Amino acid sequence: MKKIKYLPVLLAVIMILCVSIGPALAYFTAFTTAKGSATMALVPKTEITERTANESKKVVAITNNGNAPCFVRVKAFAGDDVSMSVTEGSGWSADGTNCWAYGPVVMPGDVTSDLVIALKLPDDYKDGDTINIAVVYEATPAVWDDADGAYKPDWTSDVTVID
Amino acid sequence: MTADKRKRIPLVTILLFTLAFGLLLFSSIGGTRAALIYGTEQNAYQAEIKMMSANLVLIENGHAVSGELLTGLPDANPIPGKSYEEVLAVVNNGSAEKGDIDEYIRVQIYKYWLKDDGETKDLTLDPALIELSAPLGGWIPDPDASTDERTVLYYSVPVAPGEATTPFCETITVSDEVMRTVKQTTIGPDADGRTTTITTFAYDGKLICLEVEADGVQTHHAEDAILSAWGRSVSLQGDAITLNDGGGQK
Repeated sequence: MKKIKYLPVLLAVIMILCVSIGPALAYFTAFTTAKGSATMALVPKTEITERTANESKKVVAITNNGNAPCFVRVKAFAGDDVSMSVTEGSGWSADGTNCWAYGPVVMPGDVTSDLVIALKLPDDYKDGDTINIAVVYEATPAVWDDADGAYKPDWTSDVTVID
Repeated sequence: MTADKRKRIPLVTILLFTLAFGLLLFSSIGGTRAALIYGTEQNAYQAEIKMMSANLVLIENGHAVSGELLTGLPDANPIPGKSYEEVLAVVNNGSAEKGDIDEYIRVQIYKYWLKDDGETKDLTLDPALIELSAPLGGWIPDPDASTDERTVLYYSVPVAPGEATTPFCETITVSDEVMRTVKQTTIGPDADGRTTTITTFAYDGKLICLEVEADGVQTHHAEDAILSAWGRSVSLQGDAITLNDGGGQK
């Protein structure tokens, strides 16, 4: 009976509290947002083409088929009885690691100039003989140097392996 | 208990009910409206109430942004080490003639990496390798709220309708450190005992993402308005705001 007696009082208090909730204050605000993204393409996609000229020259060129500029370098191997030489020029030069590096950056869609490897065949070479010349090449993504305002290769930096 | 006692209503109860009724009555008076119930074309009555408003627009490289950033990069894919023009500022797009108000402005800049799908954030990659140039004068950084991924800046003075802030960013650069970060996967050993290690560029195919949020708040009762809207305690010296130490959200 006591609980029923105080129920109206409790209801009255609740009503008073609910009435005061209504009014609210707000400040003038404004908001805007924007977002954007761009994809990184770091892996060069290159293709080498080789041909033999006059049975005494190996002509090599590399095409950049990817989306990112890159630098390339080439190395050739042959038996001990064959000597090779390259005349520097047209962008190719020896880089001190037994490779010939192409100096200009190769932009997407571009082709290097021809690298002409002159072959000095052995004295006992005759028509119909087979000589193997192995050509390997590397490509590295081009890095921009803001200080020089130009692309540069990075063949030597150590890498960091992450999980 | 006698029947009389059960029937009698306590005085306190009566007083409280009266008080409650009175509060309800007076609170509803403020919401009363009047409607025009009679009139002709000649006697038509029109009333207008002009509300103040606040408007903001983001500007990227001199152009208003409609939701999308980084749309004008000259290279299809960002070149590591190359700084791209990314001049960002905020304009109070209101009009003083229309009654729009001056505003204090805050920007929150988010930079992070997305996975190949372009949707999911890649938490294994370092947002610090996405480098934004420092803001020009007029912006106050909040070091308590800033991280490698998020930078919070407050413009120190109010911006009037039609006026713009100084740029809070001028260039965006992807560090060439991305060229020297790789992931390795080891396969094997196979039946012949050979193990293959595949090394890939960790950032190849990933997306840099730049997101900007700009907020404006009224200049009247600015300290209270900024604390209420942005959760940041500031002090006013004339028109200029300064951040109170330890007065912000983390």
